[in-house]
Amino acid sequence: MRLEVLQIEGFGKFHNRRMEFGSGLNIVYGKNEAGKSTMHTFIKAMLFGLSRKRNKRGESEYDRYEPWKGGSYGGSMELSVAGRRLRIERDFRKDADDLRLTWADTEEVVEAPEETLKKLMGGLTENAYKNTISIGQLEAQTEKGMAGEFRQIVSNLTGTGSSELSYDRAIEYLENKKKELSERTDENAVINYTRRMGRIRNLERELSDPKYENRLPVYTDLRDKMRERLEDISEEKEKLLLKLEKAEGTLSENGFSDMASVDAYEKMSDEAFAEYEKNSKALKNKAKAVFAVALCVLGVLSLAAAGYLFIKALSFPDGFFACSIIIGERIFPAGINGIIFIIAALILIVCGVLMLFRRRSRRLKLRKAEEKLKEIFGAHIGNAEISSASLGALKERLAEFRKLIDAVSRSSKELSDINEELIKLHENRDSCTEIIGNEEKLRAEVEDKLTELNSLKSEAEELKRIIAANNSIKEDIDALDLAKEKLSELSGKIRGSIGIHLNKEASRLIKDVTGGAYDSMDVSDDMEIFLNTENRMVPIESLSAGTMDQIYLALRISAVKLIERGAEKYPLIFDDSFALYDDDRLKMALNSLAKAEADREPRQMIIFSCHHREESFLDQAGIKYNLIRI
Amino acid sequence: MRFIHVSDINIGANPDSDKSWGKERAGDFKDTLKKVVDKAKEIDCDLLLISGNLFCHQPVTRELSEVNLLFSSIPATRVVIVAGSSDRLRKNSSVLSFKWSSNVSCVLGENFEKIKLPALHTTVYAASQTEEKRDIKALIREMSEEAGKEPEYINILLMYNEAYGDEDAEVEIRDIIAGSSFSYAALGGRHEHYELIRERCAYAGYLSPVGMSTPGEHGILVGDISLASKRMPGFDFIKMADIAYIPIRIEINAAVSSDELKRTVAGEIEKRGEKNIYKLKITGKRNPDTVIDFKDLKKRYRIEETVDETEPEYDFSKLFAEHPDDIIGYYISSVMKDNEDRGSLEKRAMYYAVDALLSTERKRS
Repeated sequence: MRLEVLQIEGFGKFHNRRMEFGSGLNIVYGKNEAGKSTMHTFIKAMLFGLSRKRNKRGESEYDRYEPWKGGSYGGSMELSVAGRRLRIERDFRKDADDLRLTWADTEEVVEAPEETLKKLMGGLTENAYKNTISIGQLEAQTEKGMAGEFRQIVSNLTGTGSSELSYDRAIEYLENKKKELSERTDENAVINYTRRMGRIRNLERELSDPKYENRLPVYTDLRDKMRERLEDISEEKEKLLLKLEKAEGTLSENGFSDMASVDAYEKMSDEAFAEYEKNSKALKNKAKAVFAVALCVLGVLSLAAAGYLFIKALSFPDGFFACSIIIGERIFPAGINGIIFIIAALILIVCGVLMLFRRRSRRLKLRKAEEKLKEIFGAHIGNAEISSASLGALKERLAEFRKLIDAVSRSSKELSDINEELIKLHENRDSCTEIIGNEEKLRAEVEDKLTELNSLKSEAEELKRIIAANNSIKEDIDALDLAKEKLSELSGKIRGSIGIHLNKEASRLIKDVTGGAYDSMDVSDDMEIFLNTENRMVPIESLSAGTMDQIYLALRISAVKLIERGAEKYPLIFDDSFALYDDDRLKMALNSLAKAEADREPRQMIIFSCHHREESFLDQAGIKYNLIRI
Repeated sequence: MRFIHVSDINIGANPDSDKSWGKERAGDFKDTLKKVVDKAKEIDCDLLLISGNLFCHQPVTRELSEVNLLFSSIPATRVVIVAGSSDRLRKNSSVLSFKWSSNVSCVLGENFEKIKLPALHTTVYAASQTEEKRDIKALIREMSEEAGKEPEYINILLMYNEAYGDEDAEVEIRDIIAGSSFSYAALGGRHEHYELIRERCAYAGYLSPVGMSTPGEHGILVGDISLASKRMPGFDFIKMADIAYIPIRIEINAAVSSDELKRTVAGEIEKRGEKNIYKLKITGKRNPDTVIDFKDLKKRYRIEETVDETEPEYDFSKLFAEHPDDIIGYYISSVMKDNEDRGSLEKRAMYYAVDALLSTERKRS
């Protein structure tokens, strides 16, 4: 799109004024108050109408540009658009702006002029115009207003399609990577580890049960001691038994069994000795024997006397009892005396015989006692002589037997004690062996548990290593997730991003205008501008003013291009934009403008200026331009 | 009197059970002990001191029998064993009722034991670790006092220092031993062999390494104590373990390609021995196209772990210039503008995102 001709019927100070523009660079020169801004406003008013809205001071644009000399208020403007020439005519006097559109080449009046014009402007709104095409004094602050408009523009744009595709592919790539990593992790490691640790804790708890304490050393020690004691006392018992056997043999050989038997033997010996003594004493007394014989002799004599008497008596007629015998002076009845003599004889003989018999029996007894004693003494003292000395010796011997019996009884007691201890020891040993058996069973249990515990610990260690490896993989997975998150956050934002639309063109321009000092830039969503340097993105504020101008310029052109969307190029209108520039800055800016898009179809640029600097610089640089003086 | 001091034999350990060489490693601990026994035979060792952790866990009778069989093959060497932290004595320990070969003394009491070896004119003061917490310093002091009563003997201290790592305690222990009549104090509990007092007190270190936490050489300490001076004129470390765990750190830059890196790694490993086990740590900036992946090397060498701490060296500036108007540029500019220090996670996420964007982009074009 190009501005071709302005025909101002009446607008501010201008009346019936015609102006023609060239296709490339146009310099509109006019001193201050020459009406450059008025002309600028006229162009805008032709495109978008004149606002009747009053500002705070109660002034409206409409009021401001009322023609000074009255008369008609408006005019026309011819544009090259869509390969044709279009004339826009407006009469601001009319209530609603009276817009007429005519195709100038055929003088064909366009129906529905408002809609058509809008359509032809390709979505260029008044605001977009103000912020892009129409450029006031170039100051950083003034650019802030661009942000909202840019955002508006961008929101209507599509064309992040490739980014969306990239996003989908990138996410898929990350997903695949994650899957790959996930396959390398052992998901069951933690649960297996926990299970093993649980089992380990249980086993350790079980093993700490006091019943599993290793008491084997105590009991084997005890058993060994018992075994030793058993051996000792068994030996003792053997010895004792031998001794006993011998003693009992001796005793039984001698016919003794116990103390009573010795007592009885002694008593018997004593009695035999006493008998012996008594009888031998009695037999030694011969008087008694003589006396007994004498008695017998007397008895016989008595009996002879009796016989004599009886014969007498029997021969005496007077009767048996009448017969008397006179012996000396004495007279004795023969019969009675005979009887007396018989009785006496009987008594004497009986006594004498009895005495003799008694003596004989004593002799028998003595012999018996003698035999017995001889036997006793012979058996025990080896001396058959019967004497009290022998008896003494016997008694001494018997005392020895008594001692022996005593010893035997003591030994028997000892033996029975030993037997009792043996029984006890055996019992204890058995119970000890049983305990040891149990302990050994428990030891086997402990060892089984320990073996399991040790292998569980080893497994747990391995799992721990796997978990550590998993964790490091998980960190990678977390990083992948975070990357995904970042990308998705980004893809949400990218649709509204200004940079994505502006960067490419702006970067291309910046490369041109900075002579390659910067090859790319980034416009943030807040319209903050960063320049890509080797190490970081540098905010525009840190650059020199000249560079900033160039960049803003580049950005503007990019923004305009964005609105154009590759269709027709809009003109750029600079309204005293470079007033505050020093010469160097101006040179640079003009250079940039001239260079911008120099390779393609040139863009129409209209620079309003109150200086001649622009002209002389362009002349110096040999850049062609069209000069319009007001 | 010639002795061997060995510690932390760790029979039963299985440190690389999830690796292809795990089985061999599991057998190493017993095999290395066998080498020690052979060494004892070879050098006519009088006394073999084991300062704890003969086993890495509570030993069962089968394990004790195996070890006992080994020791019974050196009847001329007295073996004195104390328990350490891993095989500490418990009330249920099988070792309490184990019958050792006659040349082996295993300390089973809660207090220290005085093991008299008249033939060697030596007394070993030895204490095992039990479940009860013990005051090591007090125990050593007690043993030192007891040993002080018989300075005419070669007095040796043998114990595991479960307080290893407590530096204050270590200084005190050193001072007590320095002032004692011990000719040698054999300590256990430290990973590497270390002389706490020159030619008088040492940790034997682990006989065999158990993983990357125990790098370096591992073996035994051999000493000769003179009967006359009760001092040690000769004291040597002899390497016993065939395998070492070796961390290798390789710094690369963007000029190093994947193949070059692999060649470097292979070279480093060959230089140090193929049987050893390696942990690789790759640092530095890598070319984004360089892949840190040693899958094929892992088939040839024992690489336990690879830690990739490299960062792809993206030229963000260039990338942005190439992608000013798409999601790549959009992302990169957000990264470049963000001057905050990124945590490692954020950093990794960023590289992943860039990688994802770029590699899909490349595929597309």
